[in-house]
Amino acid sequence: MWKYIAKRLLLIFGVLLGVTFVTFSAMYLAPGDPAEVIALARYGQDLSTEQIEAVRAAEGLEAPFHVQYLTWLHHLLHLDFGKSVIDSDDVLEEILLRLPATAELALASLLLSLLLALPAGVLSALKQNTLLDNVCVFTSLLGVSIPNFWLGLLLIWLFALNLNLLPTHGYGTLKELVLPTLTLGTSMAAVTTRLTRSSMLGVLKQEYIVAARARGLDESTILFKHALKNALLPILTLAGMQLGYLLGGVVIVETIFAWPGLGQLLVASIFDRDFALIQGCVLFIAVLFSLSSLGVDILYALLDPRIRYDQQD
Amino acid sequence: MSLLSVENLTVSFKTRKGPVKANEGIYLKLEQGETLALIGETGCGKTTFGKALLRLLSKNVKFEGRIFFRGQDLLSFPEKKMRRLRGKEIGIMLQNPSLALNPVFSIGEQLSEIYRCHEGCEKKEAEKKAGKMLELVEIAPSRMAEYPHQFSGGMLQRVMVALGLALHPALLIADEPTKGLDPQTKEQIARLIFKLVSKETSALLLITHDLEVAKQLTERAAVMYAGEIVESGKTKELFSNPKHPYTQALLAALPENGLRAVPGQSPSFVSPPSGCRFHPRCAFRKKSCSQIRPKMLELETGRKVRCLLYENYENFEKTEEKANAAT
Repeated sequence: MWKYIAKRLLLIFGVLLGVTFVTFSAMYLAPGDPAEVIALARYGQDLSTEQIEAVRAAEGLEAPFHVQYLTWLHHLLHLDFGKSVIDSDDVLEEILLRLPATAELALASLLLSLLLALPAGVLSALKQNTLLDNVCVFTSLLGVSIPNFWLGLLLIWLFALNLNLLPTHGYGTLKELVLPTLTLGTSMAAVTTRLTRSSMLGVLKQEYIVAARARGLDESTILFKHALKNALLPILTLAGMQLGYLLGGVVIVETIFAWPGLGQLLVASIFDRDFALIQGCVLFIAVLFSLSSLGVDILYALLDPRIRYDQQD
Repeated sequence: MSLLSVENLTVSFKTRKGPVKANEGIYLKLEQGETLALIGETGCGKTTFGKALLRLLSKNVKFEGRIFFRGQDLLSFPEKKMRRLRGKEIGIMLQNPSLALNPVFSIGEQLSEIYRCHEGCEKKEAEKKAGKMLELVEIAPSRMAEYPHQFSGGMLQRVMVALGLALHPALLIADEPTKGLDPQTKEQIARLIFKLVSKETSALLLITHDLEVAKQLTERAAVMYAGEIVESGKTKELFSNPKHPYTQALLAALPENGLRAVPGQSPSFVSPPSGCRFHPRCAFRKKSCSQIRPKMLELETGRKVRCLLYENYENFEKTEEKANAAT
């Protein structure tokens, strides 16, 4: 098992190296002069060529591509993500400041999604082609089809404006967490419900379910032990990807609810052409995504012995 | 009272193309401790019959007739009562152990949960019983924690034997227990089943297309073709003196008899051939074979055949009644 995790970590390291290269190249190749952006932020509108050149020299921006890239990597190894070119804040600090809000929203939405989707999907599969199943399938289709921003606005209109139960936006208390969580959680639940249903239906047709029945096991053991453990495997993959996606910050929902998360930070940094911050954010999001998929791989190996042992051999 | 008595059982499935009769008009008796082979080619309805006895078929199934087990009609049992009977009174080894075992639970878990479920055993006690059962099928109990994919085909089949016999059922249904095994392993598995079944004095219904194993393991045999039983009798007699042209063809297809394949293909269950179902492939067919459905005839005590070659036209109705009464 440890060997398996170590292997995975090594792989992640490779992936992250690739990510640094791609983001750095993208920023390097993007039109616009970083020196000018920095100088603009420092000295205001009226810039002289000398000022820009001075900044270029001071920030090491005249060095060739590979030197700049390796310098950046070298700093990264010391956990130095650089400073924002706009306000000189430390990039890592800035990101870590936003992380709790993002993590809170991500975990809450994922939890809500699974709490809704697992029972709904399993029930739907067990009562296949009944009214209940049809209602579940229809509702989840609706959930998949409704765009997030619209659902968010609708929820604000209903709960905040009409019923006056919850705040329209903000961050800090549980009350403010409810609407963004509902927006994200329900739309993810729609996808997960459909997957749970089809996965469960597939598993229930397997011969080992018939075999379990043939041994006279009771129905709840068959369903919740034999079937569910197998059905969970694809759901786990999906949930892991959803978590990775959520941890990367959900721009639209964060914007609607003025949620101070990573997504907002990334978008703001792009608008400001704050390349140090952009690179930092992208890399950090890649790290989070990789870690959550590592988490899924580990859980997967715990659930499915075939994977565990195949990797060890 | 027979242990198992199947009377005029018809198993059909509702499909879009109309009802498909996978088993039709089956009469079968099995006494305590008796061994019976159900022989036939792949797709003839053997497996359906085995699963039908435990009511393990899909929801679109329809049963006609009766399945008496110790005098009680299993088809009238509510599901709950049926569940208690499965494994406990009738054990079944489904074919393809690699599909019939749950890949994400260890062998020990799958075996010991039977004891927890049926006998309300505590965890430790159930594991102890599971270990004993594994020893019985000659698997080291130290392999309890291993998963199905870590076992070879022969070992998996042993696990299936252990699962089937875990609660010492009065009847064991073994569906193709030697399928896909090499000759040596096949021999070992056959011997193991024979040994355990005799020790437990369980009856055995062996479902197989392997005539060698049938010969080795069973006292009586029934031959199934296209969902019907076409011949039955003592295994030895049936093999030394086959009556039905299909049985004769099956035996001729054995390697030692010249490996002559049965001509033609298995018939469709949606629109089975008229008259005798075997007539399109039969070397002895007469004109009437495509028109008259042959009835089961009792040639001598315990020896039955469904073929017009042996039919006495004047009183075949009576013969049929007598035959069924004596099944």
